[in-house]
Amino acid sequence: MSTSIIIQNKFSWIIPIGTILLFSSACSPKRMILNQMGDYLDSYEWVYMTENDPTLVKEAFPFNLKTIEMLAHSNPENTDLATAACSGFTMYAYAFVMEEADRIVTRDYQRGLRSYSRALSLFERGRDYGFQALNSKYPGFEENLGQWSKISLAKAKIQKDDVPVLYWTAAAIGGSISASRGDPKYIVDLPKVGYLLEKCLILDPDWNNGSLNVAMISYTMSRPDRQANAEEQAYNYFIKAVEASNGNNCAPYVAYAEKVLVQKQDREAFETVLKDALQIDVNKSLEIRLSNIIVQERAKWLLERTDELFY
Amino acid sequence: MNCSIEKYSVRNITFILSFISILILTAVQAQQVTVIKLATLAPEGTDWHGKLVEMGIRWQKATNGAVKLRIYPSGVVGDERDMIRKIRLGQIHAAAITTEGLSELNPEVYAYLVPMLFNNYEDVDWVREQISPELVKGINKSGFTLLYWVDVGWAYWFSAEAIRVPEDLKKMKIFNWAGDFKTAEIWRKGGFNPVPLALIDVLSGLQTGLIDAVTTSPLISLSMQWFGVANHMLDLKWGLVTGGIVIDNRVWDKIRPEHQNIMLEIASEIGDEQQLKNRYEDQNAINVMKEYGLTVYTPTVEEFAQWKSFVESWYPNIRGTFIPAKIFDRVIELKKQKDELSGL
Repeated sequence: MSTSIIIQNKFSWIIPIGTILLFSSACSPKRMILNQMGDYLDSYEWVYMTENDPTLVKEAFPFNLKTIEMLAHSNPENTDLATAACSGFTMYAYAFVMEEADRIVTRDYQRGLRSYSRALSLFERGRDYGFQALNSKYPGFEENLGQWSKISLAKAKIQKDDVPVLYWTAAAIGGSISASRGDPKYIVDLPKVGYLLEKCLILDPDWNNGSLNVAMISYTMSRPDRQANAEEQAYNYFIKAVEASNGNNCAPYVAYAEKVLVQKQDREAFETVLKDALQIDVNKSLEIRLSNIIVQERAKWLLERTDELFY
Repeated sequence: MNCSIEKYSVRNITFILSFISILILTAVQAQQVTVIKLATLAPEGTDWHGKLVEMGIRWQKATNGAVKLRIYPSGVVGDERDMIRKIRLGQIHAAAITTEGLSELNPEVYAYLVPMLFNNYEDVDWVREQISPELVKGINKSGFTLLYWVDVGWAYWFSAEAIRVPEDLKKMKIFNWAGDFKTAEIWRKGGFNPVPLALIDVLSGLQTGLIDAVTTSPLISLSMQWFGVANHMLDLKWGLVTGGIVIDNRVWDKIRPEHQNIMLEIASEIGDEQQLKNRYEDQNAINVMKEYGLTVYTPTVEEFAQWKSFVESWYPNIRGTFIPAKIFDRVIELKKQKDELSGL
């Protein structure tokens, strides 16, 4: 089956999902339909992640987010729906709202703040759905996370298939810290990001084309217990992330350039690494095509700002 | 005839082109942009950094693009002393720094660090109004212009065990910046046990018991998660963390006076907004930490008197060593005047 057919087939259920939702209240086996929705969520992600037109996704995604949110709300026990809502809100906030805010804030500060505020609200929703899924599966998860050390988290009976919800919850918490512009209420949660990511790394280090290692590049550079050799540690995560994606994921390059090479003020390496990211063929790994396109846009934007980032 | 027309046209075109070139050149000269490179330790994406971004946008707009501010946040230029050194080398031109960096330009700024000098921000504002002209003059003598003062917050003691009186603190091992031998000596003279550590080692130092206490602002204690181990805070304003923005006069003097005026005006507005936010943020951070297990101890009147009596007996060790004697005496005198005015 060709890729386009796969995409067409996967896409075909998105339109009915809204229809099902709109009319579901009239259907008798409502709960059954809702439960079945979870089975489609993998397909849902595929349709979006393989897209080559970010604008189309930006415009289409909110409708589907609201649909998933309504389904998750109606069926709070369904961890797949809550996970999809968590990843959906977090992805959308990062890819479209934060990206835009980062650009606006350098030109129009107040407008930029409004965009960050909107992103914060989306991240909070993503985080809450993440905890909804985790609390449903592991009662008391959210409450205990603040107190749990890495050791007690390691002892918890968390499975490999929990990695997506753990990762997206961590990403939502991290996003809310960034979007809050340094609000203590959010900063205080930074260690939780580390607990969750490190647990994921134990369970499935190469998950999703090295996404965990990419996240660890940023976390290593900003963690409260940052080590003297943080740059070296971040470099190791960069290498692992590149290897996990066979060099097809642009994200580790851009994260390493932005978080480490700017800090080191290594302009030459910064330009080289970002140009390497731009050389990656976005059609090589379809499951991360959309992400690669968005990340390449960020790489171009960063390259344009080189003079502003290096003194 | 045709030929002469052509010659005339060519001459005319050449003239027009020359004229346009002159116009363009004049316009370029008129629009010569002064790029100000400013360094700060404030992390990118925080409100502290954001207010600087806003200042830059407003400067650019108010000067019709003649002044452009480039900000280097998160300590990418180095620590505050590095920033001053790099300004002197011409690598950057300005810095948003605390008393640590400002002391390189005028050691009298340490006047703000006299332990337990200020009871509240009213005291700070009153004393600042009196001493600011002297401090600014000293900074100017070093070749810099101060754009505005801004308080970062109060420094409190955070410790693994509760501190109530000076004797409690003297039993503890306290954080001291690695390499800062002068301050370590002053601590020792006060009967304390300073332990030299790099900033990044404070958290592990607290976790392993290498140190038991650290004096810092609530926001830093929260951001660095020190309060997770040092989960007792003494509600006593030990010192003031303050700072300001300075710019190299070699760059500042190149800016047209009318632009300087509007830039100072904008900087002052931004500074006032930031001041208000920072002063409020302390309590915000304390409230969040309390939710996460921080215990705050407010000393009794008697205990407060013990602290006051102790630091006053310690002042002779600080005067003329850490803080220049002249400014030390001046701020002590000013505070007395303020207390009298307040009927204390």
